[in-house]
Amino acid sequence: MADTLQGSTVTPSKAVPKGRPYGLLFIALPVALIVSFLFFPALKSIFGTIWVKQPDGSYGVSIATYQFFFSDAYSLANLAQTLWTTVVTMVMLIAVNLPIAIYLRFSKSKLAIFVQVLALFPMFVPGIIIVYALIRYMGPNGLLQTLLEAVGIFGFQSPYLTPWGPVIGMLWDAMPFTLLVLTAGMSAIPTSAIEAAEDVGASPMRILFSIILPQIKNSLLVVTSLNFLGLFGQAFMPFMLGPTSPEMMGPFMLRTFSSVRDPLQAATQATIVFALCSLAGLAYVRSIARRRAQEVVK
Amino acid sequence: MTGWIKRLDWPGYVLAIFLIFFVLLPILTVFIWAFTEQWFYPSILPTKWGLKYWFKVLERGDVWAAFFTSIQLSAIVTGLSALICLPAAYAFARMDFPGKQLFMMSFLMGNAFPRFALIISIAVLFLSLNLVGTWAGVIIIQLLNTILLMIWLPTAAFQGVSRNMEEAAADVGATPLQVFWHVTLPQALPAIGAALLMTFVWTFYETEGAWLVGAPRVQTMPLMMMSMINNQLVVQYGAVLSVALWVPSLVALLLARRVMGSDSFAKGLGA
Amino acid sequence: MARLSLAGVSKEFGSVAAVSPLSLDITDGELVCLLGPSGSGKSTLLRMIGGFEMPTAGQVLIDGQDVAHVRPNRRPTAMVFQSHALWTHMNVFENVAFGLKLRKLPAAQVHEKVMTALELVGLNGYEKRSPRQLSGGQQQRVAIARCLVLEPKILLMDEPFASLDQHLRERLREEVRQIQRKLGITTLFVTHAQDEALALADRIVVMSMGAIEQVGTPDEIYANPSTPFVAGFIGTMNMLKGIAQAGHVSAAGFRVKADIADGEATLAVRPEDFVLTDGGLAVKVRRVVNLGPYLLAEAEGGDGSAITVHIDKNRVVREGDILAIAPQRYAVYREGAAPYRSA
Repeated sequence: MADTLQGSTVTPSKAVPKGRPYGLLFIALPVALIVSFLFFPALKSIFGTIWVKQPDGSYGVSIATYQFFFSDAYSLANLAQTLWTTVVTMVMLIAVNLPIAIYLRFSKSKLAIFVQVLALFPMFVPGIIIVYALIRYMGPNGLLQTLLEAVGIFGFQSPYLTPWGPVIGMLWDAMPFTLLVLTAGMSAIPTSAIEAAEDVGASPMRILFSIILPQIKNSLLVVTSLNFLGLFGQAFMPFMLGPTSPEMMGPFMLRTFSSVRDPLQAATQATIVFALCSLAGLAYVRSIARRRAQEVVK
Repeated sequence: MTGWIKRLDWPGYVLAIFLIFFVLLPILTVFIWAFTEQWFYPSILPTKWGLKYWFKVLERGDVWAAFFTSIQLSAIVTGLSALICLPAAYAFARMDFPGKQLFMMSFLMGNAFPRFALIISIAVLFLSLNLVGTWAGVIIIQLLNTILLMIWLPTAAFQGVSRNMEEAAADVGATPLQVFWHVTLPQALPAIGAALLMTFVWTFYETEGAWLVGAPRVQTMPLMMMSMINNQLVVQYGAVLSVALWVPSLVALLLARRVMGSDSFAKGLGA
Repeated sequence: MARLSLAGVSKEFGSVAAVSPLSLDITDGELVCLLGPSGSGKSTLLRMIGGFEMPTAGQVLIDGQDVAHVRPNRRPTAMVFQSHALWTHMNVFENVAFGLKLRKLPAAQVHEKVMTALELVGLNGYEKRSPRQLSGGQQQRVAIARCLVLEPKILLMDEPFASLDQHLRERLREEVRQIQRKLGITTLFVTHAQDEALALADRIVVMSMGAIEQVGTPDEIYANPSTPFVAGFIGTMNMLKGIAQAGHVSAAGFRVKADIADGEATLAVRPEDFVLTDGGLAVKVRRVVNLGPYLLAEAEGGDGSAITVHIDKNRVVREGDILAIAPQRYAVYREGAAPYRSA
């Protein structure tokens, strides 16, 4: 039963084998796929818009396609249309989902479950079916108009094929995601923090602006940046529900690529979209990087 | 606090009514149309109900062809995605290697680009590779779509397996491979199954990539439905297809979500 | 059954030393408790013996063979985890049988061994249940059976009862003690609960900050703690700061004989080692707690320091009373010197 505290007489045994980076092998395939079919084409098409074939057959730097885009009234109108739609939809998404998220956080009634199920329901509806449903519902002579007229409200103007068409469609589409992120942020606020604010006499509005909104700042940032990217790059909803002139960048790029058959101009349009979205992309990457850094520290 | 909650009842009704009009009624419209034979304008409900258009849709050869195209595409994409992504998910969850954080981030970065602009730039590349209008092109573009989901959810699933469980298996004599096969994989399987199911359903309904790269030669179900909405005078075709295809996928997705827990989506995107 | 020797074993995580080089010998059939507060390195030490951590240096010898860098599945050790770590996708029988099946034993033999193991832990009849349908205590018994069925040379238990309630812990630790005696299996048991260690162990290894503070039988550790840390950690001990001078120590108004070098010293007295005597130090009772077999009085010493004293329950003591007490058995600790113990 010898027990000694000094163990230095023992020669240290052989070095511990370090873990070899087999992990790199495991992730090689998806990384290769992402690099060769996402990052590479994006960079190539951006590069391709300024390294252009000259009339004499040689290649050289040219910004002609950009000059065309920014001097073409139709292109600029489409860009403005896209910005307007994106901003309006984003504001409406927050305006609709923030009250729902707050309600879900603080209400425990059966009604809350009903509200939650309905608000998240669009997640299970594919885009093509949403589009079809909205056309049949709010299109001219659709169910909504019929219902309104049945209760004596006439003069319904259908948003279908107007700038509001894509706004409504994208609002439908992006609602569940926005709500999920906001509820996740909201559930992280301890009830005691809000009760304490109430205790010191803060009004509900005060609590909203001084406690809730600052606490869900990161969720709002993620929602805003991702929604901006998602809405700005939309093609399908505007194509199906929106007007044709001016149109959003999505359908515009699509038409330039497949109907006008001008891939160079389409790539230029895509590059301009990339550039305009890079700020939102950066904000998103920064917020997830910060969150992952926190996780690593933990 | 309690006082506030009690006063919160009326907002609940306002929200519920808004959502009924905004979410529920549009979907209801599709269902009504699917079982309608005649619906003249001022009438609130169809003037004649019936299943006539169900038979008409089921008789159409192009519908069946598009259906099988979509099923095959989805199966191939889901299978490939699993093959490519599951080992990576395991590596992210359980292995240590240089640059791990950076690579994880680079997958999330896919979200940081406007989607359709990316699709356009991929299509420009595919044009030079002669991949436009081919199955291979559609498969690749849809595969890219699934990578994030297929890595993120299984990574969380593998991370969720208690290390003690794995150590206990190693302790009773299992080799690392046996630990993975008998403990880690079965434990993570429900969540992986959910990810597979969701990938399949999402791929089935993927529209933009197939539209730009596949159309018109590769005709998938959503493209079929798009042309029916835009060009067909008969409203019911689209309604019947929507109901017939969407109800099974809804059941599948609801099952998937039950397994996964409610907010893993939001968390996955960095909320 | 086996002998276990640790020779100069240490573990560093990055630049942090979780376990400083230490050596320890455990004889065949012994039950040794590793006792210490959280962060003392006791779990890391156990995990190194089980093969879940590789030591930075040193040897882990089982029957004289160095297994320090052998994977857990090739070691004759079996570990019971704190979180029981049952595989929830298998039923009780499958959990226990898994290790045997990996060894490709014939089904009949597997069945027989599993049943024997389940009977040993008192769970016969539960083999078809899912781990989720079992109570915490039953789950931990399955985990024990899962280890025992493999007939390991050394059984390792990592705070196995930490998540159970007090009553269940006491019952299970008696059962573990009986099973261990019956099988004569060398066992290492990690705990931060001193009552568990005192009740279970043949020997206790007290650890603090990655190093061994003291090794001894429960009696030795309780009666003669060799360091102030052990004195403070095991049981209740009045640790009174004072000065040693000319063969005596003065602390909190007491002055007792202590053959120790001059300087700052600590007088350590257990509450039950005070006697009431006319010549003792007058202390004022602040609070009285009735603990059943005796009264516990918290009193104030000469310099205001708190002193805990056990008093016979037949004696009437109230708040504010003055008691005259003197230490009957005591120890004096001084940095850099062996502790002095009264006769």
